[in-house]
Amino acid sequence: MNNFQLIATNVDVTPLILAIKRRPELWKEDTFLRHYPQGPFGETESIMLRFPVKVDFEGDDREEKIRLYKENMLPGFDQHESIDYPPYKLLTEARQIVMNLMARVGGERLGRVMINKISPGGRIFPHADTPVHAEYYSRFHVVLQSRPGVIFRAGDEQIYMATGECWWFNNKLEHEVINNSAEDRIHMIIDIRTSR
Amino acid sequence: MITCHIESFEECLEELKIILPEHYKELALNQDKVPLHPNYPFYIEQEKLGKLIFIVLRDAGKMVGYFIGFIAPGLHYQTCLTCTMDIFYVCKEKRTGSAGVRLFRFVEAELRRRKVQRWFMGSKIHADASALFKRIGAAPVETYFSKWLGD
Repeated sequence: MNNFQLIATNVDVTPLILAIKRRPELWKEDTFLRHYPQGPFGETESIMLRFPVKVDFEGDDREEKIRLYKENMLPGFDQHESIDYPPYKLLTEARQIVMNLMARVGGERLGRVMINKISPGGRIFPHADTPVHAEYYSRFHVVLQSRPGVIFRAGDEQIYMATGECWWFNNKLEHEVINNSAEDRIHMIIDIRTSR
Repeated sequence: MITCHIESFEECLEELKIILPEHYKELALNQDKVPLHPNYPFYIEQEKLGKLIFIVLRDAGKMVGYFIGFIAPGLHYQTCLTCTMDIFYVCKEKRTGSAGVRLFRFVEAELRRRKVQRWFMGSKIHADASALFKRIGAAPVETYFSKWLGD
């Protein structure tokens, strides 16, 4: 297996998933990913813990702004610079998991941290992440809730990530997720700059 | 929605045990003399050795079919990585549509990824699956016979 690497098992995710379930309103507060132009996340709900400052793409030069953003050349915005969003201060249970992962992989810089939920029957459509971003950061998934029936494909490899596992995967490759289980699939996605 | 999954035999064993009796009842020979009694430790051992392929069909999370095969260099042809099908099954209520073809096309993609060169699959005379195998481009090469000697 070349496109995935198991980093850890038995991560204690229960405190965090409990904290999330006690605050269901958090899923509705941020729709940036869901509404990202031509994005693959139309069936995904997100809680942003850390993310770059949001860009307003509206205007006559919308397409040009999107192009520059994807190349990390949009004046005033740096895709690699993420800031804490309010939910990161509410979901304090996430911090220990994030920092433990930073330590485990020798992280040099912490980027985006998001919690994504895909309902039963939902999917993230096939896509490859923005090359500039995928080249800079390594992407890790901590599985907060999942059941057999969830497919995670990257390139020509496909795996099932079980609850409590942490995985790296190559997000430069085309990847997709299909939730054909009977439960919500909830992952925490963490971008970490590692040694190059 | 029916989807195909590469899964762990060992981790799915309890789910598999739910379907196996249905499979046995429909397809096994000499059921009055040979009970269902799989050697699960052998399968788990083969999986640990990287010699097992276990593909699951799921519908809303529920296991509704599977393919199990063994992967190893041919005993007579050590340069030829070979998959020999052990069993496959699709639950009766899911046989409409193209579940079987999708399962086998998925298996083929995974075997190609694992650089398997030759794939053997068998069809029962009393439950003929040869149309399925021909559909995915396989050709009949051998006929198996059975004779009961145990009395």
